[in-house]
Amino acid sequence: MDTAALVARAQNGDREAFAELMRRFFDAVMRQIVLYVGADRTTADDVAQETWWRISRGIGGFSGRSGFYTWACRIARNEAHRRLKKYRALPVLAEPVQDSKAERDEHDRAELVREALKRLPDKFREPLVLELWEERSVREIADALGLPEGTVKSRLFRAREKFKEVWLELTQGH
Amino acid sequence: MHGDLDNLIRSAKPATNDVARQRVMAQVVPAFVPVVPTPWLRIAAALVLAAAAGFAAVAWQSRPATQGPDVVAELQQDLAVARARVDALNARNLNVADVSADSPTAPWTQQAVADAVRQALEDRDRNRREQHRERHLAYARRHYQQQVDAAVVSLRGEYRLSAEQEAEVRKVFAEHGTQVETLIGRHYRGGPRGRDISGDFDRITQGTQGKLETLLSVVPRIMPGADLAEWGPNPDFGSTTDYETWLNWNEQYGQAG
Repeated sequence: MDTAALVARAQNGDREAFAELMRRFFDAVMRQIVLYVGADRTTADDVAQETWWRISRGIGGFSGRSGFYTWACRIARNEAHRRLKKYRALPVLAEPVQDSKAERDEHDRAELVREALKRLPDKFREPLVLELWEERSVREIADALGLPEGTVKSRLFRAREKFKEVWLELTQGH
Repeated sequence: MHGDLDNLIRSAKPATNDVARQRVMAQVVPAFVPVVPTPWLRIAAALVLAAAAGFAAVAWQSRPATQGPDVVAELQQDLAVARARVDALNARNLNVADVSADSPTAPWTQQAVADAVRQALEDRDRNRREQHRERHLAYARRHYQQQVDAAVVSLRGEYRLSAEQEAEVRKVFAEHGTQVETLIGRHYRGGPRGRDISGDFDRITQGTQGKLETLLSVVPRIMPGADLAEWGPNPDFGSTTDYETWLNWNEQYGQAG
């Protein structure tokens, strides 16, 4: 069943359809949340919970002008910003630092990649991470974003070009 | 190059854990409230509005010729008054810079604001008095002739009026009706107003009865328009006007002038 049909069923009060949406998009939205809030797992979990709570309450008003994933990511981003604004002064507990230098380097590089992804416009980042992190096909990405497949292909191409620019900019600055 | 970049991005994929997903799902999914889809809400709202509009249309058609206070019209009038006051202030070159530069407590500023507020209130009350006047007159015109017809029928049966007498009686009643309308009109615009309207009605009624006595040699028991002096707190006055409003209105304006 495609995403739009699941959303329609959830809007009609179908709890199982909503659960399926959660199963289908929870990890993808969670990874976006990690991009927004960083590696602090507790914060990410809290934001995820609040995000899905808001999605569950607001899905009746979801117009479908964008794809469900795009809409969910907007809610996640807003919730992350709200959370960061509220707790900006509090110390953030990062993930445990890796022991070996190689692992630390890998961790730092991952952080840098995520920073580069954060700097991409939503319209490029969303299809890119869906493809490379969530391993979705072009058709599935089109379904999640509510876009034609041709548009998705075009955006994926431009997203890679854009990421390369940002990545070079970040790594040359380092 | 793209292959390298793809691998680079893949290597930065944040880990997720099933425990978090299961925990959030366990909290959110059971609490998921069956949501009435927005389109249905809109349709339902449209149906409610349509039904309300239908009732309103029926109510509107069944209303008497004179309308109750039109809240929207009153608000529009109030807004128009407020706009006029703003225009008046603008004409006096009152702007933010002036108010900031000149202390807001400056006498001329306070006076300008006080004048504007007083004028707005006076205009609003004048508008309301005019509305009440028109409703009262319309009520009188609609009902008085019916009462005249009923009174003539009664007199015809009781005193066996000739056609000439009936014509004369109708003429006297018509004059009485004109006096009643004049009285009502003046009541809202100065002159004899307020509770004195009852006394004025009594006076013109006595005059009319005198004419009828001269004409018929008797004083008719039925006098059309007798209820017009008591007019006010009834459905024709307006759906939002209650007796307290009427009394307060008379207290405030009826005795003045």
